[in-house]
Amino acid sequence: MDFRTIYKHNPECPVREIGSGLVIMAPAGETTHALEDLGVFIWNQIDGAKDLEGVLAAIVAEYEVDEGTARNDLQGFVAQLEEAGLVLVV
Amino acid sequence: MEPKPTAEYRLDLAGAVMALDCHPPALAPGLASWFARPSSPEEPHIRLHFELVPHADTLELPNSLLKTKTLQDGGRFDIADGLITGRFDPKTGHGEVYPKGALTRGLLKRVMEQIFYQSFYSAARAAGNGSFLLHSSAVIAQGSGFLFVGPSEAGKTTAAINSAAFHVLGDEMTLVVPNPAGTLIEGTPFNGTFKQKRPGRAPLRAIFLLEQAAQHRILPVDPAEAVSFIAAEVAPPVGLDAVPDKSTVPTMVDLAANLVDQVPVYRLECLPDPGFWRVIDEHFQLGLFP
Repeated sequence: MDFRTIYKHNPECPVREIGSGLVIMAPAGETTHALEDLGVFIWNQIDGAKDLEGVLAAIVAEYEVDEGTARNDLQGFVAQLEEAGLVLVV
Repeated sequence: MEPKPTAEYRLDLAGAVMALDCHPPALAPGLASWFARPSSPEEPHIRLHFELVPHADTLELPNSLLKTKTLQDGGRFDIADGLITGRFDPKTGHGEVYPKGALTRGLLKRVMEQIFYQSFYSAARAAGNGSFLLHSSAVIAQGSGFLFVGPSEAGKTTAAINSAAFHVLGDEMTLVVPNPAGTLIEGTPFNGTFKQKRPGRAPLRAIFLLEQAAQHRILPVDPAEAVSFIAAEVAPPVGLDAVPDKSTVPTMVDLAANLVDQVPVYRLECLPDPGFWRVIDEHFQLGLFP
């Protein structure tokens, strides 16, 4: 995954705030995805302007985690969001 | 042409009443027997002419009736290329449903039950009733209602079977009834093959998300995860005159979110035995095992 890629939220996906978490509905309208804690943080960082390097920097600044671990986890998480159709490449 | 002979069967689900004028007339007592419920004396909110269609072809059953439903002019609908056709006018509350006759044979009745989910939502809308159907098993213990939620094969029927010491409302679909004094649950007659259920209604004390495991344990669940899990098990609130659209899943999520706001939700890890009732008893201090 190229960390210079900029992603944005898929505007076809309704989102509901549930407590401190989010429930995001896939665009095909059949599945829902729950995000909590770090997942919500990453979702909020994906703003259509920041590339994944910028998202990674935000994670490392906010959480006590080494960059290598955060990079791997972020890559896997964004891949899941993309496969589910929840985020799009700008 | 002479009108066809019919016999009426009324089904009352959380106060939303549908009257089915059944042809052939024997279908009415047949439904009463399948649902193990006599015809309701309550006034109906919708009335459907419910007529079995004779046919010689072998049925091709879809995975989902809703996904194969199309709408035509005049409020007409077609499910799975003629498997069930009909018409419904929400303004008058009258309609017709024509299922192919084979759907009344054996376990195919389970497929036909799904048209009653849509009929319920039409009746509920006519009644101004905000109840909805949740894919779950439900039990009343010491006056408190408990829901066991999960997809197929999660263990809902096993949980219901292992709750035989208490009042089992059902193992398939439960009515969730919003109420100013607190959410209620009510049994439905769906899944006529599960005979160990009895009608009833109770305040909803807790919802358990089922997970098969090597021990009985109650664990906390994040609210967003609870909503996502439960939303997937809401029977889509689609009436006879509608098909799922972009608003359907958000509505299911909103129903689940309102429910999670009102009622505590837990993950229930359990073995396939009644032992989970001891952890529930301990957690809620029900006094089930003096």
